[in-house]
Amino acid sequence: MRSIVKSVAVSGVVLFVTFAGGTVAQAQPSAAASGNASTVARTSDGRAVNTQAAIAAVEAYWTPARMAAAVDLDLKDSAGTGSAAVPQGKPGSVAPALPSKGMASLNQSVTVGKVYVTTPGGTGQCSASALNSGKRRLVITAGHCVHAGAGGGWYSNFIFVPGFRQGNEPVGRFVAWTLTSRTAWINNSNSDEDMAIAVMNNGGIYGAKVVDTVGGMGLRWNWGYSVAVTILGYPAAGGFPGDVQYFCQGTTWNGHSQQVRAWCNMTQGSSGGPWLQEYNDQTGLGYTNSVVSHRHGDPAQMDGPYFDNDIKSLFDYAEGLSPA
Amino acid sequence: MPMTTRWWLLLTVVTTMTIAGCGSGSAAEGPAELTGRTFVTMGDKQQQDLPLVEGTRVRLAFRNGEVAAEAGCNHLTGKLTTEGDRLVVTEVGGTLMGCSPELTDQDDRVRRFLQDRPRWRLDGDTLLLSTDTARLRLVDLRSAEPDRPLTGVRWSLDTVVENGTASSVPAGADAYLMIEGDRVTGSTGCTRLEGSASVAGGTVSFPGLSTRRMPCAAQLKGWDSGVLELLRGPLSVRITGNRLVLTRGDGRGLQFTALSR
Repeated sequence: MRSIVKSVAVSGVVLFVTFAGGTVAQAQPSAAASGNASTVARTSDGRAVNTQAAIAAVEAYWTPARMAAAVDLDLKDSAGTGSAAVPQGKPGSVAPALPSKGMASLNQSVTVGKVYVTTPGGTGQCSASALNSGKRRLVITAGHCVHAGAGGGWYSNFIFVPGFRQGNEPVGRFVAWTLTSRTAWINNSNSDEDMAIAVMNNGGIYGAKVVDTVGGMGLRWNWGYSVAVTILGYPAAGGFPGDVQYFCQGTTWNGHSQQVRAWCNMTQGSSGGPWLQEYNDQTGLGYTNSVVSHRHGDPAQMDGPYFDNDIKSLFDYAEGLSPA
Repeated sequence: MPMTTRWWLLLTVVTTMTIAGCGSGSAAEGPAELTGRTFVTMGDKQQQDLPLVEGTRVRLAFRNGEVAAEAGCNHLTGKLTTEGDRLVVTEVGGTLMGCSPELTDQDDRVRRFLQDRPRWRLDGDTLLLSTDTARLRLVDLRSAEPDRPLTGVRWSLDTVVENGTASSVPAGADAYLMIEGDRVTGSTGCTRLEGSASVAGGTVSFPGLSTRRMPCAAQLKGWDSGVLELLRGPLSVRITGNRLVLTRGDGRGLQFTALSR
């Protein structure tokens, strides 16, 4: 996205523009034939503000005395000799439209993040989301992201990095205090109950509870096999980068036994990512109704455990174990 | 003419049902000798064996008409039938955890090997699977990891079980039990334990357990009392390989792993 900087010609005023994000292109002067113009910001002596030294010079320029004596642009404009505020005609508008092929992108949710665990074979990467509860310490993911299943043990060093993006940890990281899952997963690797809830220590940039820091998803159980969901996760194989959130949207169905199935081609790394009902792209919140578990032969589909009384039982258990 | 068509249709339906019935009754369930058993690779690598990342092993579990495989990263599963002396594994999928490139490649290697219709031969406890290019030698888990004795082993507590749910022992709690003769010693991380142990008929109880507090993290204190409560009353004993499960009558229990000495 290009920042458009309107040229303002007021003697003695210097513009200093901060570009949001890291990928914004330098705005270039352009012809004003259309009535639109943009230009690079300049210092009062006409040098372009495009180096660290120039930025520092602008910052130094604004001494308290200069700021106090700054010209009030609005006052000058409205009290000046400009044209009177007369409407040019009737108000007009053009309506926005959703893409007809479905949303091509969503905002990333800071409530969803990446999980790293130490497994006997090395480091495992999964996805997870903070889950609302009275004590505000829960994170929900897949059972196989916390425990190796039949014959195996719990994984160690579980951390949750909410909103992880391209190496950045916007709100820091949270370390698990204890991990919980269903006995059907830990004793029998039963994928019908491939679900887990981690109880987190205080952490992140505020040294606070995870739900106080990034909010928490709701939880729904016994809502039937056919529901509309948004699936979020960090796929890391088969061409997906692993450091950016991806999403799938669609309606689930009963894949096999007690599992929901959806069209979604996210790859390894997406395990544990939430299947959200009523996902709100503005708040990044919804109701968790499953988690990414596994797939069978078709690389365009995936399965998650159907959330019934088992998830409610696990939720109550984890919340009961949670420190205040 | 319409009558003939209907008869053919009926005949086709009956034939199809018969074939399907045959399939699900025998071959579709995989070899009976393997069903219900779990096999693991051992460390003794030979040249023609499927290459494995150092320190990892392949675990194959055969269930009714399904095989589950693990090779250090994800849980792979596929439908299993047989064709002559070959295993036919189809619709292979797996869990979706991200791992190191080496382990992700190894998952793919094992997946391809299973999909390559390997020949199988069971020689006692040893299962040999071979394709034209590679082979896997596996041993029945029961032989590879014989059941450890209850006594004389330091059992490290890793799991607390309650009502179909389980939780890990919080980091920092070095909790364990060790039974020697008729004595038990142990710790919950916050409390030292000592007392007598009575082992009989697949159950164990710890009458007169004496406890002594020791310094520990504040967050462990509430957790500790739950564990102590579970150690009162008789517990059924189940040992599988290096895992010990102690279960109370109400289903609550503790799970341990044997620490190698």
